Amino acid sequence: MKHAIAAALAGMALTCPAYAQEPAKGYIEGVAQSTFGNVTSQSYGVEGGFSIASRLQIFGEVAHANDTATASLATSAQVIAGALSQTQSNVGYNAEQPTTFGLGGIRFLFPASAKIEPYVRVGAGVASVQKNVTYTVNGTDVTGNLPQYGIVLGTDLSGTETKMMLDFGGGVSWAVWQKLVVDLQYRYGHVFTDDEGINISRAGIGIGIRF
Amino acid sequence: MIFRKRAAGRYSCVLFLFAAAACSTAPAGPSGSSGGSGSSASASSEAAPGDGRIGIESTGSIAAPRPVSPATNAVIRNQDQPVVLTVSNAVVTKPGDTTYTFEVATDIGFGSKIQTKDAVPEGAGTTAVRLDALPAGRDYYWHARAQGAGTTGVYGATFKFTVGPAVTINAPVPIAPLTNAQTGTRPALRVVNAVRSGPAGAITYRFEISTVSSFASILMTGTNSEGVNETGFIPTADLPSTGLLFWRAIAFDLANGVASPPSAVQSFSAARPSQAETVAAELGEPLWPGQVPTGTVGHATMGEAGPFGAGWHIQTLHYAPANVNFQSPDIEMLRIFDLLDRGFDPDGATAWLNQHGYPTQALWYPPPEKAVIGLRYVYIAARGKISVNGIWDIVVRVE
Repeated sequence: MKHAIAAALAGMALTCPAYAQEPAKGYIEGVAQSTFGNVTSQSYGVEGGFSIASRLQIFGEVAHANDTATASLATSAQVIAGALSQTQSNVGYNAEQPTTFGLGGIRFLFPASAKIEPYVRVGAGVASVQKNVTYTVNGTDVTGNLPQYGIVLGTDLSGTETKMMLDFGGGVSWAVWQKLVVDLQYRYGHVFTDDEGINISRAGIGIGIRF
Repeated sequence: MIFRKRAAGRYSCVLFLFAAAACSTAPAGPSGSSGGSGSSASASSEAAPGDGRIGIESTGSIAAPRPVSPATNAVIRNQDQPVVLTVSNAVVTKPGDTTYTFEVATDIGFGSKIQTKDAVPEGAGTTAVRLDALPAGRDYYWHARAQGAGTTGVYGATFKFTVGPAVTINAPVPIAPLTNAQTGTRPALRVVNAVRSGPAGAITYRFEISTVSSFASILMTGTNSEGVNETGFIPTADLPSTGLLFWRAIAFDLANGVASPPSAVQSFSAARPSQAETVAAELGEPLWPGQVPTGTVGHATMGEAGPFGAGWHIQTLHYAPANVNFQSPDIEMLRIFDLLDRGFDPDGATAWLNQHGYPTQALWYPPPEKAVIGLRYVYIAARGKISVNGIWDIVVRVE
């Protein structure tokens, strides 16, 4: 999957004609965000883009959200923990859903001052969603031995899904010094996972350069 | 600009195509890094989560059902078969279409499965399945698993139970009273002890008396432990003296929970107790425990105490020549009187007794000299020497 994303970005970079007009030919930045959904977590990644028309850019983004666990994941994990506790004592569990995703799309820049550059964007891509649910008995991780305890995890609590993701958002890119920019941003994405899907809201900051 | 726009649209299409091609759902493999990889590996040996599903819905997780009954190491009487296995329902994160598989084997490793019940629908709280009959006198092991929401669970804990030995009891055979018999109101119901096979426990017999041959309603029942060769029951209250009565007996091995078929139904009529039967009942002895004489009573009268004799009420009398106290009347005197009451003549009465299992030394001294029946300590004397439809007195012998 990572190769597919990389190929997509490389393809875009190689086939897209250069954009010689202001405001900028392109940009690249690192982003750090807080994610909001069923749980609050963190996300970080890299975003870059280049202009294909006046105030229109193509962008690509690769990022990782530490935890996008849904309510159903937490509930199901708790149900199984309850069943395990009927035969074992001191049962613990942890349910996380780290998600890595790659997006590509279009970014529209609104006319503003030379230093302030508001924008909106819409993109699509793929997300790899890992259901990372672990169980402990008396402090020992027994996730790999759950069948010994009569438990089989389905894909609702284990495995990895790679699904399509749609994302849109906006922000304000501020040229703080020469080519250095600070990007205050908000993103809303939806991963089309099995069952209910995952909504990921991200708010954060990006720091990078324009060129 | 147009070219660029078209180019931008083309890039978007490329992105969507990449996204669509890359989408998949992958359960954690056998060597998965974490988060239930081991459990999924186990599940894949039966039916991997996600098999046959098209990414619409994830597969559920299952905690195995827990066996409830029979409790482990339970001993089940063979007669109580079929055995019903019950589990508390599995915990399934996506409930709704869960079914169960029960396995029964003769070894704890389930190498010798003798019954498998598959696709058993889930019950409310618990799920049960009725087994086919199992061979008696063996140990069995059983466990159950659940399948649902695209996942096949693992088998839960294994329980053991034992089916007890096979015990069969044949129907008891009636001895008396047999069909069309005339009896008193408290006849002794007797059967030959039932033939049984297998390691039977103590046998008890239940006697049932009814006014209908179907035994739809029971008039009286009585239970007795098994006797030597035969077992009997004497009603504790008088039976109705009008109409036909029916009786049967059933043998029970309560320890093994085995019952015999009912004995063949016998009919009989209970008459009001004769004078002799009444006194015999006071003595606590059956007047005719074996053969019952024919004829109807009404041909003799017990003489009251007074100038003619000591009377027929139970008392202790004194035989002076031997200086012996004795009970009067005894059962022999009552049987002789009962025969006279049924119309027997004195010689015929003593002959009948000796010929039907009631040996007697009684001797008839006919009129015109005496008209008495001599016994060891007493005479049974015909008042006025009238021996037909007469009054009979008990007179203590003096010689």
